[in-house]
Amino acid sequence: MNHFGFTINKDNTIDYDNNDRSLANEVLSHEPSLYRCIQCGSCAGTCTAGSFTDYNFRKMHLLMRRGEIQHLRLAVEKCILCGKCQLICPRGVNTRNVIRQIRIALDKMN
Amino acid sequence: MKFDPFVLPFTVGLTFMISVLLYQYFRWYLLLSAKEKTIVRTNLFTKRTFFGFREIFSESLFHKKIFAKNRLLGYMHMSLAFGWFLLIIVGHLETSAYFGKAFEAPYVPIFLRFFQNEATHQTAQFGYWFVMDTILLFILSGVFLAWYKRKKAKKFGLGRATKHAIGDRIALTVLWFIFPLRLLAESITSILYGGGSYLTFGLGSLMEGTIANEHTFYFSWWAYSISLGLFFIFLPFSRYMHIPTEIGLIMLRNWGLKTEKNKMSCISQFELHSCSSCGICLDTCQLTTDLNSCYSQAPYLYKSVRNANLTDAKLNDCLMCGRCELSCVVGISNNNLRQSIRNKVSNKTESNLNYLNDIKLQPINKADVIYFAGCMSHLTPGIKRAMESIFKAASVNFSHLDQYESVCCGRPMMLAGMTKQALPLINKNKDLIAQSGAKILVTSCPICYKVFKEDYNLDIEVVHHTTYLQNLIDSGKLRLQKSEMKVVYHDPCELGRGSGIYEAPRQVIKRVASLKKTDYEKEQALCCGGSLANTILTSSERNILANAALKKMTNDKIHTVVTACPLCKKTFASAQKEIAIKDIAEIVEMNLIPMKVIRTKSKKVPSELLLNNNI
Amino acid sequence: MKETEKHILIVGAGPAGIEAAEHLSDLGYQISIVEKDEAIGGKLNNWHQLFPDHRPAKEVLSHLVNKLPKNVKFYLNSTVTKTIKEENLFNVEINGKTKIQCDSILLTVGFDVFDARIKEEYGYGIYDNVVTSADLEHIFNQNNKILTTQGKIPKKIAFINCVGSRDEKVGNLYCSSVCCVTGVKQAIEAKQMAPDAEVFMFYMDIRMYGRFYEDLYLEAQEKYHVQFIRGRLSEVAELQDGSLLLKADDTLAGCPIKVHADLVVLLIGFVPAASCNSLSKMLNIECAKDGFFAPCDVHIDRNSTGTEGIYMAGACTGPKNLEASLADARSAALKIHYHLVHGKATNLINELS
Repeated sequence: MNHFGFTINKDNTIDYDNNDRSLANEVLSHEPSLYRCIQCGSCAGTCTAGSFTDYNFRKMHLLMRRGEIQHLRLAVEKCILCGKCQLICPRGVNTRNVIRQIRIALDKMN
Repeated sequence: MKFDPFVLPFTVGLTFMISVLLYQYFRWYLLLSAKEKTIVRTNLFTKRTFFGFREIFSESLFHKKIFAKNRLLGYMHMSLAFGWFLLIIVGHLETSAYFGKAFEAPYVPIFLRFFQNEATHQTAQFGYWFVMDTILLFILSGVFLAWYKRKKAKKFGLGRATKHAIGDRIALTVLWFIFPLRLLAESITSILYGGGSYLTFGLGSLMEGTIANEHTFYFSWWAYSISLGLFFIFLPFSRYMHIPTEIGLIMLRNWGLKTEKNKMSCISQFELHSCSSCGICLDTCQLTTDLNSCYSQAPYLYKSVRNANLTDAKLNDCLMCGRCELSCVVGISNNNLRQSIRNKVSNKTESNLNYLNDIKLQPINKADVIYFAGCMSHLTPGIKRAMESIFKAASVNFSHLDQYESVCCGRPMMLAGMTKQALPLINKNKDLIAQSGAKILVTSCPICYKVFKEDYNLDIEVVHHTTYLQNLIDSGKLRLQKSEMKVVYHDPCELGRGSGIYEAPRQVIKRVASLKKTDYEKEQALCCGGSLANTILTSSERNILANAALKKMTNDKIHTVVTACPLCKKTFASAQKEIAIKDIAEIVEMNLIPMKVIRTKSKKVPSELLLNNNI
Repeated sequence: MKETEKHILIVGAGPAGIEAAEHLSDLGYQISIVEKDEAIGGKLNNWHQLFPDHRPAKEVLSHLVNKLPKNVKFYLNSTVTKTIKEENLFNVEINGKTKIQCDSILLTVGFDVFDARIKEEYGYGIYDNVVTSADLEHIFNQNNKILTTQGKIPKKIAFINCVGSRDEKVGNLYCSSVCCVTGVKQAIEAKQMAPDAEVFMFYMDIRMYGRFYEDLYLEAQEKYHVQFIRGRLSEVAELQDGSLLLKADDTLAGCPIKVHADLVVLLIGFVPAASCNSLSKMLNIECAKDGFFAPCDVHIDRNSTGTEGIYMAGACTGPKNLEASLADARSAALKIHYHLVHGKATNLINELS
């Protein structure tokens, strides 16, 4: 199964303890509502970009929180900030700010 | 040669200030585009320049607009501005009267009492002394009020006074000292060496033999000069930059320049620095009144830009609803400036929308009218369904631009400052619109409407569905009945203040329901809180804004609110259950009298059948 | 143990009210029941079969109703309009005119179902073949078949979990507890009635918390091949032919999924009864932030209210299944009995503190 269009050439396991989760922590500190996410998938189901491409907000931030950020930049570039995800989220996660904070954190990393 | 070392702080300060100002204004001048330069050149020698001067008098000096807001506030600003202006002008007249020359060193009129014993002509002394003392008293009353305002802002019609950064605080303190120090210096001079009228001589008399002596005399002039010098030095780095800048702004505006929403142009810089942090806009901001959040509004944003300590939250915690623009006495276009700053910050943000080139959408049928529901409308399908029924009832040859999937109009990205990154969306939609061959683009979302109108550069007509409905009704294509419903209309920010459409929705509603008045209508309408421009608010904060707005609009008397925006509808509906929220298309559709037989559908909700059959 | 002098007023003649009435009457009290509808039995009247064993709802209803003694006085089509407490007695006004006096009041006003029109993106009230679980029970009762609103047998049926529950966007953060098992039960029934149909369930979680519930889940998968898709439904769209297009994220597969359906069933949750708010103001009892009556103590005493002499039981104290409502009613009956025998409430809290 493709992740964001690329085949992963590593062990098929998330090595949680050795993954660097500092980017996720950075994003979470700026947008703590993300903690509430239960991965229901409403966001990805309604996503405008998600109906045209493999962009999936739910999966993207889940992998980020696990520390799997190899494909984060390529993914987050696809969001068009339409806001449907935020309007539908049953937990009240501020999804658009999560996107912005991911972009800011990625820029800081470079 | 009239000189004394004590004039140095003043002179150095003044020179410094003028240099910095010239430097800054030159840098901004460089921002003028060729087109803007042409506009200025064309209008330079027309009566617009006269209008500009007139406005400088009425606003920069007399502060007419502030007077309209609150007399005490207006008087305070006027006394300081106009008073100081008079002091300088009359001071110069006085100087040339005493010394017979048109021009003296610039510091002489300011420190005239010190130098006046060297005067060669003694023309109308008492007259001048009386006038100058009166002007000084006039200014001092303003200084007192300014100090008093920081304690009791409410008396001035303000909910609160603006919080100040350190540079502003120093400049403010120094400013407050200037005129009392002048009073002190002139009073001591008056009793020791003559000159002065009721105010300065009077005060001087009180100090005779005690405070007033040669040392304090000299010391007070030094103090006065230093306070002036310090003020000048701090002016370009504080909110008082607005004093000279506003003059430039008024002229540029009268010559026809306007701010843009995606660029910090020359006039944008002038506007940004013309904000005096007066604080009048703070009370109109719902973040202040409903959330007690007072850190990100325009005065604070501009202060942060000036002091180069802008944070992400400060820039993005704004509904961009436009309410503050209404109350700004300088007429600063806060939304344009904020969006331009966001543009600058997000300029390099990476975006990859190339996938839009390869997407497969449902085919767009050719039609006269193309209907764009917008992203949000997929979550409020009631609006889309109502529009379909209305189109059919009016026999309109229409097709959907986004029946099952929307390509976003692009405005949410642009509001976040990613203007050029949104281009692929715009191009894709323009392509699809062209495919339909339609002459009219109708959209039920004001956010999309605004971007279609302002940024898409379409050849075809673009209308919001409220205008379209009005046209259909006026041309007799729809037959409607008037229901008993009592409703209140909520002007969406993007449709009302954003696009100037206030009447069409009201005319439409009046045909089908009883439209009640509210205190928050048209330009004064409140924001629902759903704003895409604000990415910082939490969902519970948005609910607070929505509920506060609904309460103010309905006064707990009306139970249905009609709006013309799917985002407003969803935001209001998510925040509470008591008040029914309907889109204008929905209430029109509810009250259609069919012109021909159309497929009738059971409108009864299944559970309504259920409740009547309990056993 | 005859206490024929004391009179208890029960507000709400649903299962909890009836069960409490029966036990209290047995203990010798005079019972009056006020019911807003024209018939007793509450929501139990509307259901077709109950979980976990598909037992006909009417069976349980008639059992409850038949147990009721004849001397219970009913006020149907009635609501309580005023209450004044005078020492240990309550002067209650019904329908603005009838006045009665009682020694204790038991609130069993039950619940309402979530109005699915609020969840506009699912199209209830907009598209024809979107119904609620409550509607489906009605359809089952009417026809003993599963039918679309056009009267046809559907080929693809989708059940949608958590409609109106666990959803900040409709103001209901709580879980309504019984919708999952209701959905699985209905999915099984649907397959029984339309064996050739494909049945889907779109869920965030499958909460089969009660006894024998998990067996239903297994049965649904193994025997009836119900397809469980873990993804909360995002949108429903209606196609030209009247069929429905569902959009969700198949979270376990890791990508969005689109499915067509002929019938969409929204598993709606509980909302507090409309009268909870007005009763709480009238009787000065607290509602918790979810809108249901607040418990006196979550573990030890869920039947007492803040006002001595007024008790509560059943769904008005929070979403619960039928057997829990009945158990709650019995518990309240016992508390009321203690109160009236000893002249005071048990007040365990004060004893503990």
